[in-house]
Amino acid sequence: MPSTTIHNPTSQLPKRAADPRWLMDRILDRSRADATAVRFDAISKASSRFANNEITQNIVERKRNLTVRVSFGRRSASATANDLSDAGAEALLSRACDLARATPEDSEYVEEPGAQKFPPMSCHALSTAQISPPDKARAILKGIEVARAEGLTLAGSHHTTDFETILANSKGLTGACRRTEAVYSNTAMSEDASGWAEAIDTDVSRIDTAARARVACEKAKAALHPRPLPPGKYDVILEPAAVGEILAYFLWSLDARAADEGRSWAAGKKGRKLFADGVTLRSDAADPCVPGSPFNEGGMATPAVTWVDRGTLSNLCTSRYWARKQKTEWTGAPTNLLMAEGNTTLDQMIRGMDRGLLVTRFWYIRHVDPMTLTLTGMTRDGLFWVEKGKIAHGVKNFRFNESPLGMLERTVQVGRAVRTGEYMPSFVPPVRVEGFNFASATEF
Amino acid sequence: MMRPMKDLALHALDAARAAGATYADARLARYRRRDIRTQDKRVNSLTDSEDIGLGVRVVADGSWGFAGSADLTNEGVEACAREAVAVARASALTRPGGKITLAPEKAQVSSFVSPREIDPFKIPVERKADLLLRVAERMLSVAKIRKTYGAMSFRGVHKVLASTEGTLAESDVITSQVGYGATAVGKNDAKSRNYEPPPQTRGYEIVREEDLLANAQRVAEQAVEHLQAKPCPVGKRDLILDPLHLALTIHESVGHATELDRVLGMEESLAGRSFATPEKIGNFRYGSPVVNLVADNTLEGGLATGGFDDDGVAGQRWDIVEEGILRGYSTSREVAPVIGQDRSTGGNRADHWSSIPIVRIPNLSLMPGRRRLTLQELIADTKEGIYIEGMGSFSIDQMRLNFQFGGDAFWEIKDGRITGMLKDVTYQSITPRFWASCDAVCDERAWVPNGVLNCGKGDPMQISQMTHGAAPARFRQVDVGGASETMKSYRAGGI
Ligand SMILES: [Zn+2]
Repeated sequence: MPSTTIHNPTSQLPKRAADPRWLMDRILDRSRADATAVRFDAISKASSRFANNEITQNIVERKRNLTVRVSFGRRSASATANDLSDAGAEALLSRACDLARATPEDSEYVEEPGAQKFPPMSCHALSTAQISPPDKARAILKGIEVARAEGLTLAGSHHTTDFETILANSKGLTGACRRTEAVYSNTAMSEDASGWAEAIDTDVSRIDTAARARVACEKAKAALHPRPLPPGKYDVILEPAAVGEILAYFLWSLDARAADEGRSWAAGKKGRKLFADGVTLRSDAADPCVPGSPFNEGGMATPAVTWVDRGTLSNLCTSRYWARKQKTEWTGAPTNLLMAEGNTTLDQMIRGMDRGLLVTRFWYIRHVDPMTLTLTGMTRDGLFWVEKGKIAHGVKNFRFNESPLGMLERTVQVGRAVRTGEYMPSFVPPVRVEGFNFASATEF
Repeated sequence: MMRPMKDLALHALDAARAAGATYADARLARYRRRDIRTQDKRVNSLTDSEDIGLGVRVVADGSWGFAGSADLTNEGVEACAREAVAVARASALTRPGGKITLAPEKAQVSSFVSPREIDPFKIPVERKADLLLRVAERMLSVAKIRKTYGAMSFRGVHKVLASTEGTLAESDVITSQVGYGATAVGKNDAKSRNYEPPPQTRGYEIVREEDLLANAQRVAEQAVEHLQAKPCPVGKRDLILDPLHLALTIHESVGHATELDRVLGMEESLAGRSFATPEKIGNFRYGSPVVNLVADNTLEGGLATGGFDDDGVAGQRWDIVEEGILRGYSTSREVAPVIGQDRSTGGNRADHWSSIPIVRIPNLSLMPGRRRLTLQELIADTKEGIYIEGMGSFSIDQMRLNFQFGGDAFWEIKDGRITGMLKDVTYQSITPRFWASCDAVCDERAWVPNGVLNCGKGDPMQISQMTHGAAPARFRQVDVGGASETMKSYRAGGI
């Protein structure tokens, strides 16, 4: 058994040590490496979960980490720790240095960036940072009461997070960002069906849990006694959550190097018109509709990039090394996704559909083949048959084998965007797609 | 000032009691992780992390509360305990008169150290880098190999768990992993092959340098062969699944389906529920009579073997599926009594000091067949089939019924012989139908304890690990090629 003992920081250090900037400066001052970068991350998170109409899990957590990346010539390494004492920071720096000295030279080393101009962010709300556990519980209860009144059971989560990031490096880069996020998600269960709705916002006070519960309950009721349909190609309306989930995989597939090396579907496709005219996809970290991160590769400021411009693949995701090697522009990695919206509401889209399926969301999407970007996944929590502009009945869930490439090519209508995205913060509309391929069915 | 972990944990319990907790446990844990990754002939990432903190879980007003903090001063620990109680009282607003009943358990006073011959944290970076770079060099010397990766990951968790029921347990577990792969690039296509030996809770001794070097060329050549392989047929085929692949099939279609919290609806909003409901225990045919799936959290080197879980329940061994019949679940002290079980199976684990424990898949293995049978004999006995090695694409619905899996390498079987490689193979089935089609499992000579290091569950998401051993097994007449048409259309089409 190792003998782990614990530093008791306040007993040996001046008060200013609690300030991460002070520690970060100390590390930069102390470092004998050729280049040093320090990052401070703090997360203060309150997560509540409920199921069967009651809170089942309720958590608050506070985490603070320092990450130090050092380079000696072309050798570099990074180390992270949450011991924010002066001694802890010193040990962290020396661990990073020891590792960097031991690693071989990196032929693709790129030096630390200099000072950056970060996009102005509007992404923090005190209401979210400071919500109390009882207020959170009462907001959850409002949703549960809606479900109880309907004789349904509600399960879901209500998370509020306050993130803080501070960057500094030995080339003069400094940056800081505080961001809040409130994510409410609920699933209503009826006898043999379920319905789902979510709300994501910077400001928790804008989330109406009762309204979200009503949407979930209405879907659960409308989906009662789902009927089986044969697998095959269907016209579909994908609600924003379903669109966001698929498009995250599309964004992740845009690596320029993989394309240039012939390892992805995008090989030789940049600049070509591949998708429907109505499809424009871009990233802009500073967009208040869905803030991303101002910080990108190595601490560079996240640029606004258009990936697909009215159907044309206009940019691929290019790292600093690859941009230099190929003499192209650096784009960094996307930290959010915005899809250009239309002016049709979801209700109007449904009314305009003669025969087809309405998909509330997908579940368990995975790659099948990177060269065609074929994905597989399931529908979940509200799959409906639409006939003559009306929801006719629930349908037993399908598995799809489909590629976002085809989906974006056969996108014939785009509605109004909302904020969604479990892994990629997204502001995307519902879309209507022709010939979406459902390959097999399940039993519920 | 330096304090031992146990003191602080006990101090947290005192503070929780003083704040009104009727039950409390305190988990003080230190996490270490060191990862090295190579891409082609370079080390592209070398990272090290260390993290220590405290999680206090309480019952107050009949409800759960939890707080996690890295402020390990006396005042910090007290504030953390008080906050956990305040959170529990807030939970109680949604369940007036609520009560948490925990399955009874003797206080756990024990310590556990995972087996290790060589401490991986003491192996110099140079040696790890050198090995991975030599492997890369061998793979890149094969024509058409355009990309390689190599990775080693070592994690250490030192934990103290104390509870108001008298539990005071300590554990130290090291997990080691190594793997690599190669990608061959041809005209309009790229295919990979990987070599990922089973990760284990053991030391650097699992990094078998000779073996890793010896397989590099084969892996690279098979990536090239994969590129030139015939496409997956569409229709029904007999499948022979190797142990490295079966780990994931077991994990998704049996492991998650038999977590009792899911079964009870507690995961409905995210991970989903399960078709394997309690009335099916003892009578539901999950698979054919050759299917025996045993949970064993005492398995030496097993990824879920930690001495005790975060409820303070000792590791156990029990049946999940016995001769094809559903027998049991993985449980926690909270959910076991809900279906009338008098003891938890010890499956409640948290992935970090800042997370609460949730019901986890145990080490869960397909037991070897009782009849003597080798892989070669099984292939020889198969007329028209596909032999699948390693893990690939995987997806399953939220009741754990409809799944579709890929793999790492696929071999066509014709008249009892392997005739060549296939590509783009997927198979799709419904869980009980699939396990019912299992008609042969090789014997213990071919049994391999592979495992999963990235099992995501919970909300917020937690990542856990568990071993799934298996011997090669055959499944009759499974649907294959469900994704082939889609792939073909996008390959041929304008896009
Ligand atoms: Zn899992």
